[in-house]
Amino acid sequence: MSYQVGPAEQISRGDALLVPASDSGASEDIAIFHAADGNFYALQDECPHEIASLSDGWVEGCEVECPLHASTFDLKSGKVQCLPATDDARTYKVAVVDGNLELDI
Amino acid sequence: MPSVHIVGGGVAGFTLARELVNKGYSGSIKISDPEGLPYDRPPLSKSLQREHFVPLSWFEEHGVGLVQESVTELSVPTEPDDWVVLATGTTPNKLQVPGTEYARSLHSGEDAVFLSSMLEDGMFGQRVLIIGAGLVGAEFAATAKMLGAQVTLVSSSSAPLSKVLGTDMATALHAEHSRRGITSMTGAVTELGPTHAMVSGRRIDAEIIVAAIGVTAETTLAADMGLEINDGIVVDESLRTTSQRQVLAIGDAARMVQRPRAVHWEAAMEDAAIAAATIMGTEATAHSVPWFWSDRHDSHVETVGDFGKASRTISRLNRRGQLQVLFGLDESGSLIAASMVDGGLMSKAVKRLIARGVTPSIEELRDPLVGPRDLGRQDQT
Repeated sequence: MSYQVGPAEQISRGDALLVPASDSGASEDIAIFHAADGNFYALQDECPHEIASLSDGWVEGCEVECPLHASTFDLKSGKVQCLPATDDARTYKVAVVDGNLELDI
Repeated sequence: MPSVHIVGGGVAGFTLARELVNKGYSGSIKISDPEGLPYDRPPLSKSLQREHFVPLSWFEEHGVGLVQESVTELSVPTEPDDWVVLATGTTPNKLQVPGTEYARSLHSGEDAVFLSSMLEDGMFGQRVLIIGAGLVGAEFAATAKMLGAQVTLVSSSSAPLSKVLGTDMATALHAEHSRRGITSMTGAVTELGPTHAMVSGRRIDAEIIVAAIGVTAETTLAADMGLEINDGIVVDESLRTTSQRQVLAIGDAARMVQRPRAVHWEAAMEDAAIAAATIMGTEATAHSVPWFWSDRHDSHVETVGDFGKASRTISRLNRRGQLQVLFGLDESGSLIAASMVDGGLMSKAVKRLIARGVTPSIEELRDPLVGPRDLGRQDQT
């Protein structure tokens, strides 16, 4: 099932957008990132370590750094790069179709 | 077979084992720690919890040996492929007063579990006396207060931590304790009893007494091995001890030659990455700009850089006129440090600014409308 997030241009490069579960109907909040490579990636929004929103994190290259305790996650694979988190973040598929973001939930 | 024996399972020791596993190290890896399954220390004073990095199954799965033992004697490796890594951490300082044994420390998982059960099972409103208002003392004071205790916090200064937070931020944060209903006092402890302390001539009664007056590098084993000790086990850039090339020291117990000892969680983790590179003969990444955090009274406090060298500070106030970020500049006017409360991405922005040697204008630093992304990315747009 896919959810229409809206125009891709609403997320500038290096930024992120929070897609609440209540809007998308997904089982959890999802963060969509516009990475340095120009592509869009989506991860679970809540940091696997403690309650913090990855969409508030610092996006650099193809990684996001959690705003609270600085664990970083690979945007492509969701793999955790450093402590304190030890679990990977779940990834979601996101595509740009005719300038609009489609999130696979 | 090549081997790495890590003594100490704190964040430095555990991260080293994990780095070696991730990089495909082919030798055997063993961690010795008297406390068994490695756990993370920041949550001890923040939530009185012992949080293990990974479950025991991780060690079995990756063939990492975990031995619950206190290492009191160790010989220097003789084979060039064998390594000993000392990640022995620190020992809490004790008050040099009569009755010092009546003060507990908050340093180990056992301490946290004990204090947690005292606070949760004890009577509501029981009295807690905390001596020392540094990071651990302040966090424990907030936690004990939250759990319903009557808390007295004794400090030797009205701005503890001013060297790491900057004086204005240290003063503001310390003042917050009184606003939260903690009895905060400045004074010197001269005597302790089972349920009381004498503080500058005044008797304070308490069921729980905790001393949080700093830590000292744990170097007993290193000294027995004949290694050079000077405020920590002295190591070079690759973290090899100065006298034994096959022995490394990492984390809070180690000190790089001609540098102050870094006693931070993140620095310990970076040490582990450097040590892994030394062992595997790969290129190491250098330490990043120092950063640490502290959580107390619902506030997330962060410091980046080193206020020790700041000669001037710039305050950024929020709309309610409260100090939000304190920036530290050195004599030449370069940004070298910042401390902040609930700063969001500000710490990450400042970290990058300092690393790149960029100093925004004073106006930009002061202006709460200039967000961290604008500050931190100004040279990328």
